[in-house]
Amino acid sequence: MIFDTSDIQDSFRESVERLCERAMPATQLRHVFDAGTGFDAALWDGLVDLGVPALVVPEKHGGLALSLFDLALVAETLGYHAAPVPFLGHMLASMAIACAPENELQSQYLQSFVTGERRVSLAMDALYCESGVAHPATGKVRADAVLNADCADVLVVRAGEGCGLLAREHIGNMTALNVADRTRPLFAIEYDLADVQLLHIDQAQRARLLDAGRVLLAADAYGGARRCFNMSVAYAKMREQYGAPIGSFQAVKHQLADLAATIDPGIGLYWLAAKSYDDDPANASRLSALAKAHLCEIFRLASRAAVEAHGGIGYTWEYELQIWFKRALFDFAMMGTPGECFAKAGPGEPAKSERR
Amino acid sequence: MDLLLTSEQEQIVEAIAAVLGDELPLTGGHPRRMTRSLWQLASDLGWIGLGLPMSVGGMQASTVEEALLFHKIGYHCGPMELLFSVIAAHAAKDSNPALCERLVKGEARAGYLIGTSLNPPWLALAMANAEVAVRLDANDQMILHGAVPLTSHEQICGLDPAVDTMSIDALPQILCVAPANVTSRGLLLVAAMEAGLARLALDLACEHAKVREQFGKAIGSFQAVRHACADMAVRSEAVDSQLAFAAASLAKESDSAFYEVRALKCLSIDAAYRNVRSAIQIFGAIGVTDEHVMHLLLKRTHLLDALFGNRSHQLDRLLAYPFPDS
Amino acid sequence: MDLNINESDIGFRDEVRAFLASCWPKADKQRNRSQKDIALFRQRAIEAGYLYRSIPRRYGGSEQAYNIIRAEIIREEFGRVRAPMEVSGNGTSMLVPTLLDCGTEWQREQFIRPTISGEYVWAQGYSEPGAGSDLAALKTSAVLTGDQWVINGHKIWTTDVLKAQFMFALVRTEPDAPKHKGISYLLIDLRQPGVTVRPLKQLHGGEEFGEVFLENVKTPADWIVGNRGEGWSVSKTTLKHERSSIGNAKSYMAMYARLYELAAGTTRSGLPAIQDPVIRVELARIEALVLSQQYSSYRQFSRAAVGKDPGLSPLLNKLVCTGIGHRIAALAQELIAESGLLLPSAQVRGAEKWVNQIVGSLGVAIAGGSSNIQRNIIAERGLDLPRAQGEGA
Repeated sequence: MIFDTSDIQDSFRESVERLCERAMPATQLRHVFDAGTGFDAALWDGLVDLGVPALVVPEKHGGLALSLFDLALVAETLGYHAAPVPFLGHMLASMAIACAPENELQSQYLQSFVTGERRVSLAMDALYCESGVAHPATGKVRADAVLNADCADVLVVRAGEGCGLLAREHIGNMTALNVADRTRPLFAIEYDLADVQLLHIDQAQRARLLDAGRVLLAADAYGGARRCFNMSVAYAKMREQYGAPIGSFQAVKHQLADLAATIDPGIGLYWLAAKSYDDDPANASRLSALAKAHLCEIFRLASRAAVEAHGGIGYTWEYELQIWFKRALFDFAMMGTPGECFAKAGPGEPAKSERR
Repeated sequence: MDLLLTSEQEQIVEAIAAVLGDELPLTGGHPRRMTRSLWQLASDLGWIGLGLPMSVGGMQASTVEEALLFHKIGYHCGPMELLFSVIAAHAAKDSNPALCERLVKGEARAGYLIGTSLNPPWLALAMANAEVAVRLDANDQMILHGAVPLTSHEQICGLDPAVDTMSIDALPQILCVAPANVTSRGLLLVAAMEAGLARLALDLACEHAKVREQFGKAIGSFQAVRHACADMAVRSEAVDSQLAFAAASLAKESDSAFYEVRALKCLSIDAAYRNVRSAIQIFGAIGVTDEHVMHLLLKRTHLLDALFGNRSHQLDRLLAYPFPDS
Repeated sequence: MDLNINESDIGFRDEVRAFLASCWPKADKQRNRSQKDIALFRQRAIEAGYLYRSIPRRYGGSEQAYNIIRAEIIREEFGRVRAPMEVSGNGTSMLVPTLLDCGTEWQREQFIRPTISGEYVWAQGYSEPGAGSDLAALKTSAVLTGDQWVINGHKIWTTDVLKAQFMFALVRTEPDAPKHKGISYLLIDLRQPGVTVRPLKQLHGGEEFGEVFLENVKTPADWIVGNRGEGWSVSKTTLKHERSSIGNAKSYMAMYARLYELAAGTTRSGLPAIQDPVIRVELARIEALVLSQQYSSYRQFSRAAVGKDPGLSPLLNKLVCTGIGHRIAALAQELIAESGLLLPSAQVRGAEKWVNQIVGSLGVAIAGGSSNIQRNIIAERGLDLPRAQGEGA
């Protein structure tokens, strides 16, 4: 076994990288962010063309049936570019449908998610185990945080003890939340339980979806942290004070060196968590919580350090660093804060061979 | 509340500094143990009885003056015996004035017992020449014990080489339970020593940064070093301010004194650890040998942390206490 | 994790296991094997090609093709059964590679074999009182008088000097040349008049280094490694070592395991500390740091093995590990509570052995290039940030 990406993985990641660079220059990113739609159609279409939505869908539904590790590498790249696309919801919802026992919804929908014909997304509470209860007065169920609900054709939502699919026409009372991270907008919706087509997935499968979500957030956070770091290094070389680039002053140099030492090893943990999801399910739940907690804490720290390293400009709306700062807030809060995830993971009992 | 020193208080500080400067010069890595002459001077100058009433031979000053004294002792990495005797004297003040008076005069000495748990062994500090000992029990009460019987202890190697350390299997006889405010007083004075020690680390590091040259200039001209010194100064300033405030609160017996003193203890131990570690980094390799004074500062910080309840103990207590109204 | 990259590596691992099974069988009194047994085992391991792989056979090595995967497999398998590895110390890790790269044939024949057998112990004579981070400011002088160098000066923080017979040292031989160009690399026999060694006790009581006063100390003219004035670059020789940071990362994982055991065996407010939520979360945070570094090392290793650029990571390893060491020390100090007031010794308690980590972690931030010098190196070599006037890295 070798702990690295394969040549095929490298070249796929490079294609995603090039697409993001082409479709999402800083001006376009700022434009989408200010428009508040959180959705760049050209970038999403490009990702569909590259086959990103196909990655973890089974082959019989037109997918590539690759691993979560492959998907996490894409998540890292999208995080690096702050890509305003419904990646997280689309992928987790596709995985939710795919993991259910064989049923007609799969053949009805999965193929169209892969081809980009339809977009799907996810109500966050569908990942958790509490049951959805209809409001006594309205008879409606409410979901408080639905990813990219406005551009989805179908949603995975909570239904009683389980979850199911809700078609666009049944989404009621959709309200956009005033989100900090406008690249991944959230909505509140209402729906009738009667309109939900049930997916028969159990608690263990839902817990595993949550693990996958945490790995994807950890990967996103690593990409975002790297971007904050790279922007800070570039700025330190360019910005001059006292007649010299600020990067020549020890205070700045040492802050950046410390930041590198904080961020860089994180790749080891998020890869480990992704690979254990694929190959070592017994440890996947702990490790995904640990990776989510650790990497999202690093991203928060990196985004704050980057604002400091940029001085006044980092604190403005018009400079795009603020977008990663806000993505760090999203990653931090979503699917359990670092504090909650560290507490959930707890310390790993060392292997016998480690005890000396 | 006036936190500035009166001219009288300034004179006290200068007098203390002069004595300690003569008795405990800051050179070399040898431990600064209690000497016969310092003990004599401390008793003659009334240091032990500084905050005690005249009826037991004290000077009838307040916790403010006591805090100034122990800040200076901390700054000189001075012996622990003075602190233990002061606390023991306050503990004995009401129930055993005769013992209190002997402590104030320096005729009796006190040590310190560590261990709030019910299980032996306990650690006994500075007990070799002591006839009483103070100990904090699990309810944060200060207990005054008698001497450790000669047969029941074992001399062991303490981290702080200036403090004689024993392991004991049985607690000596209890003489009395101290009044409730003695615990706060003890905490205040340990915190004062920590604050003094943090400032000593700052001053030593700055002095070194000005004279030590690498790459053709004083290392203090490198940002990595000067910023570390600035951070140390910020910590010291904050702690000294809180020390003045907590000492005054305790002197006034204000309702918030309990909170202020414990908040101080958390700040001061943090400042001591961080300033000492920063200073060691600035001194480089010489700072990790036993030939330079820095190792004494580090070991003393560890010792002070363990007295009257360590940092996490104080944080626990703070959580249980309502935040005082401003 | 087994780093088997292909079938031949798996075969190699089996081969190493078979060798160990026959030459280092599990014994009841494994810890008490004699020096003679160990020397004999090392000899066999050299013959089998497992130790001193980069050293030619004519100097006592096993002369194997460069292969970091096999080197790692050997370390893993030897470690698994606690078989003796190469003799540790400055001699094998620093002097021998330098001699192989810059030494004369005579020097290699003279010094390598007894060094790797452990017979010759070497001190590293680099730092001086006025030359620490700024090593090139060193002042110890050597003057060539007839057929020998006459050396005067003062070395400090000299590792292993208390047990060494020899020292490799940087000395100033060209006083008029620019700072870095006036330094030469000399080998010195310490067993002669004029050499005074004084131990330097560290703050936790250890005596791993000392200082050396050199007064008219002599060394033969041909005990210089490389040319006059080239000592600076000779000392920076980095051969193609079959090294990786995995071993170091694993040692932190072992430290985490001991910390976990400590928490499991410590009582706090009447409960095992491992059940205390604050302790649990801090332990989990430390585990996250340790796992990150361990798997980052596997990644660095995997990339190096196939000739891919490992990026910035290798430059960061020391700073990262120093940071983890501080975190471990801080939690250990919290857990051992009052035992932290004792110095480790043969006496009763036991938990105080953590005091070495609590205090020693400060030394790690200074030795072998202080953390601030590490930061300079990362910033300038790794991130290509401009160098300020007169600052070193």
